[in-house]
Amino acid sequence: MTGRAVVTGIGCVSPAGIGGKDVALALSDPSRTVPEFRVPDFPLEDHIGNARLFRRVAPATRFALAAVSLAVRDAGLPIGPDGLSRTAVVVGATHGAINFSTQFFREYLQDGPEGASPMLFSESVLNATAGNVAIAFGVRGPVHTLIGEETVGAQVLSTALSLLRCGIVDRCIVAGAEERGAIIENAYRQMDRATRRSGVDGGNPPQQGEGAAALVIESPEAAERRGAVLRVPVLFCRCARDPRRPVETTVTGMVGRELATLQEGAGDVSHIVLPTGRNREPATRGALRAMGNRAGGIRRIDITPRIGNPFGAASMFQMAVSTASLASGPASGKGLVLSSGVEGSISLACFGTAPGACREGDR
Amino acid sequence: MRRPVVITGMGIVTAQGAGKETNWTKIVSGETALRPVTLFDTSRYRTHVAGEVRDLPMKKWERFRGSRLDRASHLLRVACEEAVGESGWTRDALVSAAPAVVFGTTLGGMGSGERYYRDSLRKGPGRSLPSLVYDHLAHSQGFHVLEEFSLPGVPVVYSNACASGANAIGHAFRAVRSGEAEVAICGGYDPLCEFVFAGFHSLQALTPELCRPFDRDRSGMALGEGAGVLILEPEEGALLRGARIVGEVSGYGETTDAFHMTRPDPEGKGAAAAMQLALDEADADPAEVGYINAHGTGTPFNDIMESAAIRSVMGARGGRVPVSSTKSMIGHLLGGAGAVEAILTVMALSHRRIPPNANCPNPDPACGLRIVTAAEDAPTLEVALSNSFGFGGANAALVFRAAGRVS
Repeated sequence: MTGRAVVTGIGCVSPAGIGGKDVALALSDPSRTVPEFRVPDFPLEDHIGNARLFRRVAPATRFALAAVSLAVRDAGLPIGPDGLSRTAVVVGATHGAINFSTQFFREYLQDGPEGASPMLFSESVLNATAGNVAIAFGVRGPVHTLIGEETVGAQVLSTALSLLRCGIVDRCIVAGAEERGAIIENAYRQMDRATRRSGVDGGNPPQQGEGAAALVIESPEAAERRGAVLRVPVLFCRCARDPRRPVETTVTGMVGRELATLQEGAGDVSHIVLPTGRNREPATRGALRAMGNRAGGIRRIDITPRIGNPFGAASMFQMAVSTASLASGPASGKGLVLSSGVEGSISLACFGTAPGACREGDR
Repeated sequence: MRRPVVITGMGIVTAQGAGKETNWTKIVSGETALRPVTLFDTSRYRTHVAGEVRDLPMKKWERFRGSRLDRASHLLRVACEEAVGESGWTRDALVSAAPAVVFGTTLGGMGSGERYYRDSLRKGPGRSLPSLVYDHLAHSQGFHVLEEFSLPGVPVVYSNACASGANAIGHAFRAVRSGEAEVAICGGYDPLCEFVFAGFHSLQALTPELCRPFDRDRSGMALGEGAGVLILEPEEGALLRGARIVGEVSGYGETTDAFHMTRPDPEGKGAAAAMQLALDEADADPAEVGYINAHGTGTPFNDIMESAAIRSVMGARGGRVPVSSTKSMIGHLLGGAGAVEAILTVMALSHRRIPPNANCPNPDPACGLRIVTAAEDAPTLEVALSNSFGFGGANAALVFRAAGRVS
């Protein structure tokens, strides 16, 4: 799906730091690794005024509340429960509040139903993060949660573009949030061991990570009208899966096809943010093959040394890194964001620079 | 582009059984399918009944590790097969058409997650089947359906609590109407499992008695399980391939309360706004609405809020529009509710008959609605509304028109 939209705000809550564009840029630095892919504790009060209301939410929701706050501030929009009209929220996730779910399992299985906390249940439903973001920021438009693999961020972005294109809202806050959970990590370790034994390509994914990334997406007119400083255009966003072909071949076809629709094709691609999840190796090979001779000159950004694989938040982090790089880099070029998942889903988003879009030095 | 969007196939599985005609016959007769739960032990709970699907055909998926797949995948497959079958799409043609696949669910295959955890407790960490964790993920069921039908693409999975099914239909409706998709498979599902039962028990939302939406003596909701799937296409495409059109999706509205995670805004402003947006998109005047399939959970909070919203949108007709909640007979299907109830609404339009709101001998005067307590003929019924609301303040409304209007 291609939509006329620009990114006007970036927020990241990651194991490598909490902040806006600067943190997103730091995620692309391969020389700086973190010892553990866990978000350090932080006071939510630093990010939202009504933090007390959210003191019992799950970690993934806390991460998202802070990331959205950072993105909204970065976009120069008002913060608070009455702040955002004609706005939508779309959040992507894979596991949701897995620690609350696990704790709720434990309570009712071991202590009986009377011993199970209702708060653990209501805060572990998959849309708890999006619902809390809506409450915290006073969003009364569409508020959605999409569940999927590491590629779900592309579906989130596509949904936002669709809401903007239909004129339902003027802006959309898109986010991805994930938290680490022992139950999931055990299961994936078991599955990865089995995959490695079978010698399947893509069977060596990075360790699970956590955090939240958020972007504010607006129609170019709305962004210009209110004088938004950051304006990185979204050029396209696609999600695909072809069960008849290997992932590598599908990616080659998709990258080639999509870049051909753009002026300059692969000629001015400045960077590609590489997948974090399963099938990352074949997907990367497929993308580089599609770019042919140009591939050598394109910067390859791997965020996994700094963040691991944050599943449902992965592609949103990748998009934050790409848009931050474009906003801070040379005055022209395009950034590609490639994601892949275990079921063979792949996604490709492309961000650009455009006349009128402000750069780091303009701020 | 704003193309008329029609429905060419529908499939249901609920506690009433598999198949939309089976469901329609039983629901119109007011038969309740809320029975003692057999899937897990309810002896420690205040409530022992739910709308559990009995005799779910689990074996058909044998070639695809059928016996291991979560119950959610089986429910979704049964509904998909009926919907695709009715639509007249052959499997090969569907593969070439590369449909948009959009589903809604509240917790996906949570029963498998629960089993993984239970086995870990019993056998020790790392000793339970890891594929259970994968099957519990809410997007897995969508992928299983794609694999079953050999379809390309990636399923879009909405999880907006109890509005999920309606949101999935609304998303598919927009995709088809705008020309993004030439055909869409959409709907919602949720299986019954102890996690959900314990959750609503802990919130004290389950009734130990009959589920009585809009009744003066209502005391809570009953859970159910099932799936509903619809095939949407542009009217022109459906006519070209000679498909039988069963109804039209003509409007979709979505809003958020931004009020509380589990309680709805008591004034129902968000719910009313969703209904109004759906009517606006359908170019329908509230006066045209001849039936509202209410969210109607049977909880004191929901029914009062929804009544206020209906009265506010319908104006002077607020107390006269026929309203019923079919949850009184099949329970609350959570992510499946919006889809199954959308199908029952379309069937009401095609049969020109309004399904009843069972167990409502004394409609609550505080609700101020005309609750249909026994099935009624509605020979002039052309436009109907289906409401879905959920945790997180999610509100969704869909407007349907009878097939006869379509050219």
